[in-house]
Amino acid sequence: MANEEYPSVNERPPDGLKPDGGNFKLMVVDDSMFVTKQLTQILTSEEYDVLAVAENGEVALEKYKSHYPDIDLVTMDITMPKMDGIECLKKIIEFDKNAKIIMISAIGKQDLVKESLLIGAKNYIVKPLNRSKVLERIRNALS
Amino acid sequence: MRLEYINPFVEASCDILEEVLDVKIKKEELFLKETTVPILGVAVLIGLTGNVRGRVLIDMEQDTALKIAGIMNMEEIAVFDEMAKATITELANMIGGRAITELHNEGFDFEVSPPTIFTGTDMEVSSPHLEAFIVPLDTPFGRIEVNVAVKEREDSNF
Amino acid sequence: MEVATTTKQLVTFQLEDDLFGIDIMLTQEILKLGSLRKIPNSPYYFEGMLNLRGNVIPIVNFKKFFTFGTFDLSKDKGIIITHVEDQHFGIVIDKVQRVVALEDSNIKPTPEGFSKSLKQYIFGVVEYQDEIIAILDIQAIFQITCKDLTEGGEIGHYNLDFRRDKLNNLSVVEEKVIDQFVESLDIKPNIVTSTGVHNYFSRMKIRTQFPMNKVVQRAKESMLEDIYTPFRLDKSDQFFDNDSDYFAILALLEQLIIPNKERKGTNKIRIVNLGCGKGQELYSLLFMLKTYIFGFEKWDVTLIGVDENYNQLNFAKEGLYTSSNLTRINKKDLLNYFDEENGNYRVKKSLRDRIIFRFGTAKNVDTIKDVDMFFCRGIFSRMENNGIEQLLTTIGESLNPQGVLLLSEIEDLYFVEHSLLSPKEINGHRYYICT
Repeated sequence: MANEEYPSVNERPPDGLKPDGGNFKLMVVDDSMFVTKQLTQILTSEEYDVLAVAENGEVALEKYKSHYPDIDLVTMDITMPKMDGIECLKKIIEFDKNAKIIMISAIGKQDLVKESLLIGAKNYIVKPLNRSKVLERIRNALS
Repeated sequence: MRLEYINPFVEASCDILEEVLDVKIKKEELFLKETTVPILGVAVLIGLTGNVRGRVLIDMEQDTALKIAGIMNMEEIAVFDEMAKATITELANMIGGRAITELHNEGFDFEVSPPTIFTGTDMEVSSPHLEAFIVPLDTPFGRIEVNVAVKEREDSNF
Repeated sequence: MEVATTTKQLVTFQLEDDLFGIDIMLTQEILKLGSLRKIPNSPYYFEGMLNLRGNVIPIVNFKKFFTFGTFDLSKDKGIIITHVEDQHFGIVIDKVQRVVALEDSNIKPTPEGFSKSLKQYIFGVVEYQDEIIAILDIQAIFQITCKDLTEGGEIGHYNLDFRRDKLNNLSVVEEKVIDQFVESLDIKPNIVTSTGVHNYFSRMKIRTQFPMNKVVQRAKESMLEDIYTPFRLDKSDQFFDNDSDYFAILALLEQLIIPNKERKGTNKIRIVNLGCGKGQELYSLLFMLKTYIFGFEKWDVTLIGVDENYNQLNFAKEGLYTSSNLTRINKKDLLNYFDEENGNYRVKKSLRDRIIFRFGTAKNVDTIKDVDMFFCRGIFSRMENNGIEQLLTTIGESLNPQGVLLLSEIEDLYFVEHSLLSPKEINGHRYYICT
């Protein structure tokens, strides 16, 4: 049984904490309030700071720019009205070539995956969401 | 309707429901319907475009929708509010996405539009010149109908 | 959807000049008489076993069972497969007629002239367009024939004569000639067999006006023929032994459709198989086209299989069959069409890719356009006149001008006149052309 003085070897700090203090700041982009809630819950449980939320590519681009350079990583859905995820991915990377973006989509088409990664996305997750998979990939993208 | 269009939707519906709800889904006999379809209470419509024209409708009674939304949100939902709607919409989105992925693997390049949810009794959805086929799914929460109507764009023979 | 609980639909068929009907709910399929495996020591009216897509189904010859008419199997054209509870058996018939809808109140009691023994197998009769249709109790017949097959036939049948008024009595001498004949065959005579044979010869004598010796002699010769036929090498190389339907298709393609296409300068041909079920019919057709159509490769042929049974359609798409389905295919052709897979056979992908399987009912055939040929067996014979009219209209609208509709040889739509489709004949096989 772990106690405060001798933490168990299995315990590790929450993913959301930066090594040098502070929390990683994330933006969640999805037109579904359910998905946004789901992702936000997963992220906040690991102490990520969900700084911004956007329901389409247009809003996402605006918020990325206005929060720049605070956003450490973006999760991006593909199927959205006004501006879709691929388009938005392109534009954010144009704006900030070091932007870290993970695509999260219900569609797992090979050509979309390839296109996203070519444009500059760090990874691609297919829904339904698996908590550990989501956290692992975000962790990797941020390291 | 070509069998290749139907199977991915049947499989996707069952797989997604089983994964998301952690239950066994029973497929019932498929049937064809006139394209004017009365809605059971809650229906999510996903448009299909690209090389094809058509739509997918995920249709269920409100009671079923509430139960499913409750499971997906991990809390009981009493009223079909905005969050419940978003949840069911996302369910349909995942079914559509999974089916499209499979269809793409088979060489059919479909696109999907963002889904739209319709609620209310006494509503009908009609798609002229398209035959619609229904996969009724029997779940522990009630019946869900996956209603697909699709036609190839160029070669209108099918 | 109409729900009339006292309405029955009957599939009617001909045996000699008489009409019989069976409740459509008990019929499963209608097909042409193929080769049957004879079983020794079986009742006289038992024609043999049919291998239908891997299922073995006993086939009963009604005319022999009721002992009347001629037993010329080359003229006995078809089989109706019925199902009782979860068992199947088939009946040999002369010709399928139409489907008749009737109310229970139309059924009249069996009139005189029908023997007691027959009455136990018919519910009654119904009048239809000046004809009498006797409605058969399939379940009763099935029970008796089943018992005979399994128990050797020591059932108390009385007088298996049908229409006693048509039979004459036999003299003692004549009976002796017949008994000798029965003994000479390798059949263990029982009550059923014996009576059946006696009645058969009685009828033959009436029909031919020959003396009994000659009747028996002739019977011997034709029976030997029947006994040996199933063991001869099959000339057909299809899944199904239904040559004339397929050769009619070939003839139509070569003599009608292809010349038309050549004239128009197009090479697209579309053939639709309605009610393709598990796919054997369709694949057989493809194999045949590939083998027999000269220059098949240069034609853009699309075969479309339509069925309303989703599971069967998926099965057809897989194209995987067991060797028992393929006994009628020549071994050397087998590997042209199939790839072996763990002891089973799958239709080669290049061939499977030529077929589109489509989920659909007779009602939404109208969404298929530009068709050159519709091919369907056992569909029309299960439909009522209204349904037939509608389906013919839909087909007529889907067909290209000069496109054709082909049914199986035993199905006849002679009683239906249609504005879009005109009946014609090719090589003795009727078809319908879209005007």
